[in-house]
Amino acid sequence: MASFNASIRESGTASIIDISGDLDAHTSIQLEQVIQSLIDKGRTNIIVNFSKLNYISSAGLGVFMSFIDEVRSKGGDIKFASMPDKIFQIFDLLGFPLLYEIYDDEKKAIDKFQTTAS
Amino acid sequence: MAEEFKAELTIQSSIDQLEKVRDFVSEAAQAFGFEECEGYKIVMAVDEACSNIIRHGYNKKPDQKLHIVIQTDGNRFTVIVNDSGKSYDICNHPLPDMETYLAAKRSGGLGIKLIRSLVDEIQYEHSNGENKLVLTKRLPSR
Repeated sequence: MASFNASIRESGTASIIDISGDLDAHTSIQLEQVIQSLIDKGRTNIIVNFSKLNYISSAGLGVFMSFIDEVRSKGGDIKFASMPDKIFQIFDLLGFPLLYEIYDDEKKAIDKFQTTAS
Repeated sequence: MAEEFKAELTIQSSIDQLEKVRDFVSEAAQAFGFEECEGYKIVMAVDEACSNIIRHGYNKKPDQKLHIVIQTDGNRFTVIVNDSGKSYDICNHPLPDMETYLAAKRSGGLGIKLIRSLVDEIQYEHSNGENKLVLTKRLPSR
């Protein structure tokens, strides 16, 4: 059973959300709660690490869309890292690379936040 | 060479049952010969279709049923989703323009666009209170 999990770790000014399992219409609320908790603490440099994610549905995509304006208005961003090909193809199909930065590995995303801050 | 087979699954109309549907389709798609990325597409299309039926067709009533049938024919992998909820023909649904959608930071409403983008053929029938959505994906020729 591929249940969903989202855990947070910090790296400098960035908060990294490691997501795993299946992000679907049933589990997307958990991701909403995690992102909201970061925003509430003023942690708006957010990187989502997809390396252990098995599945994402349109509901999961909708979570990111629902927060991106608020996060960017507070000077932060949501960046994506380590996306499996099967998931990247969906982001690509919908044109999401036009709106979000997607990195092969999270270090590049972390470095980008550092560069933006300095 | 892909073997022909038929398999069926019935679920309750609750979104916590979607994982069963995905596992059901994923296992069959892999056995049929789809590589990971292509198999993901048919799994996602069926998941989005079932999610829409549960949320919109059945208005989230959890005591209804969806009956899913997988059947193969040559290089065609077909998933039929049967339900008795509100009828809606996704083939006539207006699709969002993605530039406008992304610029407006809209959330939601991508399920039908995904279904129509991820499979090769779609048919929809409504008869005697029953809906039948037929999604077909062809195995890419090598």
